[in-house]
Amino acid sequence: MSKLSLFETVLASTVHDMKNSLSLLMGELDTISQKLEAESENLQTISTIRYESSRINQSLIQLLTLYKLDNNQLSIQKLEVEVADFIEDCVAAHSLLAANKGIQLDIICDDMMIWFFDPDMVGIAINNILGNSIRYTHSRIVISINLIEGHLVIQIDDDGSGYPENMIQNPGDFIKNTNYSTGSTGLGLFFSATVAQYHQREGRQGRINLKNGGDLNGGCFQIVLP
Amino acid sequence: MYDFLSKSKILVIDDFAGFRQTIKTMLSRLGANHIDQSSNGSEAIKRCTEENYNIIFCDYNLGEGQDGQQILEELHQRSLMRRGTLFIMVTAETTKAQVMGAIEYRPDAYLTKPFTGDQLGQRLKRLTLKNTALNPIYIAISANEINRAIAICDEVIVTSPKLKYSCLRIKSELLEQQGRKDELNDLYNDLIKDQPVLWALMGLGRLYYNDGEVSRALEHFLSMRENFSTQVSLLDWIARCQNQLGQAEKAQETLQQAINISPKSVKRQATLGEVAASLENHELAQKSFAKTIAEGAYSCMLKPQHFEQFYDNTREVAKNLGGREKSRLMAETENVHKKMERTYQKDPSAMAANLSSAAMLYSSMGRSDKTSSLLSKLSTTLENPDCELNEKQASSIDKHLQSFSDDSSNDKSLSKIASRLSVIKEEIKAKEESADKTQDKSLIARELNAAGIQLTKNERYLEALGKFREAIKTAPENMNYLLNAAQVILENKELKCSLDKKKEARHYLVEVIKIEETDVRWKRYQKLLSRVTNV
Repeated sequence: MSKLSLFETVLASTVHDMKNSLSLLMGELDTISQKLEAESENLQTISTIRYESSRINQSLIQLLTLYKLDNNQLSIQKLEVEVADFIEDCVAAHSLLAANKGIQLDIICDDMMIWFFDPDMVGIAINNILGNSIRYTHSRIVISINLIEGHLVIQIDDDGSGYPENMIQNPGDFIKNTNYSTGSTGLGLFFSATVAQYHQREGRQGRINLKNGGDLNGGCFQIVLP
Repeated sequence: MYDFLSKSKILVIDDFAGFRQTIKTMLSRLGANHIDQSSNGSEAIKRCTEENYNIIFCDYNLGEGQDGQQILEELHQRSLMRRGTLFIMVTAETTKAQVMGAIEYRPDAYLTKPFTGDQLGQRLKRLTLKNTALNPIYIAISANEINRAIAICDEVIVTSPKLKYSCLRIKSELLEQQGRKDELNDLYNDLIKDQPVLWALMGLGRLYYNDGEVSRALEHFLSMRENFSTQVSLLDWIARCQNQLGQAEKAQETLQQAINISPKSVKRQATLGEVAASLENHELAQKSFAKTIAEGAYSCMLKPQHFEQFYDNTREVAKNLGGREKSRLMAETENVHKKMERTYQKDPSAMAANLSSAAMLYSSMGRSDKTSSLLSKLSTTLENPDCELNEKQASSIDKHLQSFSDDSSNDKSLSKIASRLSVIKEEIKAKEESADKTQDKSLIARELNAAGIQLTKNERYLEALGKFREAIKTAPENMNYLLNAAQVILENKELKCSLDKKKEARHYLVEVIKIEETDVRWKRYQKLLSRVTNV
């Protein structure tokens, strides 16, 4: 076996294994948190454990997916997606966590909308951004979906203190955004930008936008898909 | 809590007991009562023959044995799932199964581990809502009213625009079944005008292929590669076209790519074996059939001829080998052979055809002891009254036997086999020549009846009735078939409302008039009869 394919096998099966453990862990966590519902002092601890395990999970997924995209083992597969359902699924993954932290999560989306994109890849991207928003927001997150000039725009607004200036200047630039002192690598934004760029149609390319302010006067993330 | 879950029968398939328990806990919390579990494919399929599930959760990666996609394919092929059963594929990696899945058999949803109870509940609720909206279409289909089903598809698109693609997909399948090519062509072309809709593009290619325009189909499929480079179904179709057009080497290459992405498909491995053998690439063919057999251990896709092809290609490979390599091949052959004898111990026809090619392989490897025992087993198998060879099997055995003519040690078995074989061949010939094909017919009728019973179990009554009707047409005097046909009409709410159908049932019961009171079926007959006379 060549060095690369050995690494590939080990990487894939190790990630698989870790994810299985995480599945169990998170399942058990659900059970515990339902039992402990009344004791609010535990809620904070549980929600931290939940948040960190889902972060590990998302990092693993992003790592493996980027690796595979890079090695042509994966490609973007555009499918017809019922957008409202898609977004609800993304939000459902975070609803318990948001509830525990007392954060209000709202979706603004036309229920009948259908768009073409890779729901798995974009799903991973959105999940990660949502996870981060929950970490940094104050009390609210709004996800709004719009069709603007032939592009699907998924926008995530929060009322936190916003993105750091260097991220806004270079959204998705992995190297520039890595900050070892805060532990923030910008992997999530890098992943979102990569996935968006892989979405192309009639000469147009997907992208991400970051700004501060927005509807809730906090951070504002957009993924734009042609 | 979800009300619909309390009435649903649910099956959870995962090799990991901890995870089965996790899903079970989540489902119970959401209100489910009836939850069964299986740890592997063969167990799961057995359960599905005994119970009609409303929801099946299946892990994609089940370790040894079948994977989730293979289970789904087998359930479809053996009609073990009711229309409207939700099949949910659970994956560890978000994207993998989507790419590896066959476009023909797709789950209703993918769910990625880990997920929370909220996610699960929401997904189930939505799938059930969707099913409810599509249900009128399913009802029309199972009543065999295809035109009405198509009309309902169009209605649902208007009332629930977001189900547009689901409806169009069902509609396209119905049009394909009916051979309405022009409408199908329009539907596909209309869809792909704006966006590369995978299933519509695949359908269009299939349409060209089935119309005999193989080069056009190939060109079309190749043009899809840019957008869907890792989709294995697409690669399968490209290989199929290439092979059809005499580009066997290219087909071989394409299939190898597909197998790199998804190595577990029994059918794909066998196809690669056949293509490689046609190119006299016996080494690759041998490997492919070995994998076909290994992966097919519990699959309905594994056929007796795959063993024969393994033996024949192994023989070719062995010619050029010596020493350790040859011993390794020998050991592999021993393993496969044991599997063959186990698999076909109750199917003497398949056994006989395979024994002759196995004997030839062992003989060419210089294993005279084993060769003799195989030949004497072949001789006994051929005497078995249940051994009904078809012409292809008989001539294949004949061909294999020719090669033993120089070896005198097995003369006794060989001459016995040869004389039995010539009798069998005479019988086959006689059967063909005689206008009366009663035996074949009874076999066909038996199969039709069995299919009807299976469909009834799955509550697809109208399709079942269709099978029973055909069985009766083939064997008009068989009381079982007549009773089954009558029963499927009279015990179904919708069917028995139709006066024509009721008349039909009465007609069947009139035909069973010869039944005697001592017959075990007498009570059943009386009961059915009372239902038609009541009107």
